Amino acid sequence: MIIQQDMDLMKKLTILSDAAKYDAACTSSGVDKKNNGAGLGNAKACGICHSFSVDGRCISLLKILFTNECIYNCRYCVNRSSNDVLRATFTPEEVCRLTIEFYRRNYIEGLFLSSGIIVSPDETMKRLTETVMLLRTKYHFGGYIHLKGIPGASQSLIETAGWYADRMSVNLELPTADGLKTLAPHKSRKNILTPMRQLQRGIHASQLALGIQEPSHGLLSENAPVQTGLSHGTGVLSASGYQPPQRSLQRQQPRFVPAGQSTQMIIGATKETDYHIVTVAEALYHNYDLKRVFYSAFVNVNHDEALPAQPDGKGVPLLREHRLYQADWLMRFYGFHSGELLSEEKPNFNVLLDPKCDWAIRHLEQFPVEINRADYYTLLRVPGIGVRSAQRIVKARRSARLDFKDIKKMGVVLKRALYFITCSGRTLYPIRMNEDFITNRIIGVEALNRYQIEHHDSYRQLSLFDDFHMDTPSSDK
Amino acid sequence: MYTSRPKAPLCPVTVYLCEDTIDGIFTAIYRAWADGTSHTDVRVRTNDTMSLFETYIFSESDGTLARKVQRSIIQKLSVDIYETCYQAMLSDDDKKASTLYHFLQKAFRCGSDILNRLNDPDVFRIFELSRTVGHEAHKYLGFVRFEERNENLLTARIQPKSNVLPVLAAHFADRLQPENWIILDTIRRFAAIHPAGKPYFLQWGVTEEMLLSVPVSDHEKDWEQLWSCFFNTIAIQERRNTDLQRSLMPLHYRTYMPEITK
Repeated sequence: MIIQQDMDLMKKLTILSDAAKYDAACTSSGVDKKNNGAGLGNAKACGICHSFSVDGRCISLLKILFTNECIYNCRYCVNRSSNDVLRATFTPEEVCRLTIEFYRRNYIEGLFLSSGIIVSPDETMKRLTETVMLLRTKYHFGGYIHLKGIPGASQSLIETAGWYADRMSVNLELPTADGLKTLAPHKSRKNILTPMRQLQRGIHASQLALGIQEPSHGLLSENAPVQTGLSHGTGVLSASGYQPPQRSLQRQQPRFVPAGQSTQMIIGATKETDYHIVTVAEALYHNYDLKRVFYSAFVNVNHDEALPAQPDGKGVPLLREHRLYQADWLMRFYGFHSGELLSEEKPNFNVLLDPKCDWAIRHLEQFPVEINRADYYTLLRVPGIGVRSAQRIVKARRSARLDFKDIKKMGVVLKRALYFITCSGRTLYPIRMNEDFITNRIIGVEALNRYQIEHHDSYRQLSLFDDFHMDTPSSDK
Repeated sequence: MYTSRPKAPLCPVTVYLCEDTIDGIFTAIYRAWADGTSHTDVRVRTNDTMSLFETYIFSESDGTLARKVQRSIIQKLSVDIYETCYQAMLSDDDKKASTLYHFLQKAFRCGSDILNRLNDPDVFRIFELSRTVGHEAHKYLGFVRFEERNENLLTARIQPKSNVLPVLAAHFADRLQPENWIILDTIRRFAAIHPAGKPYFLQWGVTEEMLLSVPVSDHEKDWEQLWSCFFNTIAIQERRNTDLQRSLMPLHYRTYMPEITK
């Protein structure tokens, strides 16, 4: 392990941001806070992106590791103890100064502090907690803080940290316990799930005490709770009897992890199928009330031969990651279940079609739907109609009968939606409700060839008439 | 029911020209309304050619009249509608005043439900203008970059397409409450000035030279370098995708961003 003494701030920042870049989550959303009246900062529930790096990912938070002097040796990680890389450790003061100075200049929305395991999980968590406490109490920082929960750290440390951070996350790392055992021998599934459960309980208790009713998990539910103005609860918020810190000039009741918890999984390092990953994510949303699950396409930074090879950086499963995020959105905002999107028999996402189109084409018996009559949840299932356009349609049709040109303005993507909808009983063009016909139209003739090679068992062979548009218009009727 | 607007007016149209401010537009709307909505229109004064069959009246801004329009919108319609109208009027569209005038005529007829009726062209246009301004303002909330100058002053320059400064000012007044800061719209020479701990105000006629005359503080370069360094190392080279970067952060936002320009 190479440890340099007296490293300057620039050098440390380079090493420790480089080490943090594979963490997927850089969101600053989920909580609305006004300025605390004593220092800098507030938070917006919608989240704000402050820049975009050359890989097109949003930079919202100052995403750094506290240290990369890690005692663990996880095969996928660039900071594993057997790697010969430069090591550095921030002091809490340095992290605070960086955060405050960056924040003043509006470079960032807040801090995302993660860490390698220095000495022990408890020691690491202690230093992380100290840093955020310093930032909140000495610098009166009111911006967003996302803090990593270190698996294996003691309950009381995680509890304390939760009162200062806006969001906490414990990384699941790999979708299965087996994968974790082979690739991250120092970590165990149990150690990861314990702090997750603890955070879930803490968030729930804090919400209950403050009379906040909001959907605890990120999933869309058809009977969302109605906002009620319950009175403020008593002061005791947790089982361990820990009292929340008194923030100076406090205007708002402190909340435990107000922006909820998230986690992330590495995709493509182990052999799991998409179906497996989606079910794990769904279970996390249901059982652990997570706000978000992030998926991180595996990059073989260590050129480890036990892991999938990626010569010249090719073969990073970006499309797969994209499809998983699409599915994640379908589960959180569109009311889909993992079982509807994939199954044991069809365990992976279609490369050429997004999961929603894929689902719709396999369920043509439910289409077309009538724009002027179908209920909100039915509209949401139409490819090309999103949450906002569905809401606009439902509101606008109360006063008028909508036509294709109206819904196009409202944001419906007609080139996908037109096969699945009618306006006042008519489709936009004469359309055959036929799997091959619609698939063909949606992904185009070029792409269809590749598609059918991959899915030769689910669709029939190429046909000159259907697949190359050699049919006459009359055959459409 | 509310979809058609008389295409060819029967009598000559009187156009109320106004200056491009909220007060200006609201005042003109008040006067045009008082004159009679059947033969009037409202336009922001530009260098456009005049038309032979229209009469033009220049309407001076009048705070009291503008307040009356504002109050009616909030009381008779809703705060949401007022905010949508306000945001739409920050746009650089040259027909915005006329659109708002026709939108309000419909709105006062059909009530606070008006914003849901997106199939109506005027409603949709107001919605669209407001959305465009909102998007740009939201982008700028993240993309504004402050520089520290002597005497603890933070300054930022922007060159937005729509006049998003009022939206930004309200946001930063809360966020950077203990700081002295100025945000300058270099195109409109319009500045938001915030003395530490006090309310902010908006000021026309501030030039870039005035802003740059205060020297940059000693350590500013170091912080900019630290930030640029963070910006570069945080990217994953295996995922490099500059097209995506450009669509999320279009070039015109980048003029004053140190991580890009330095």
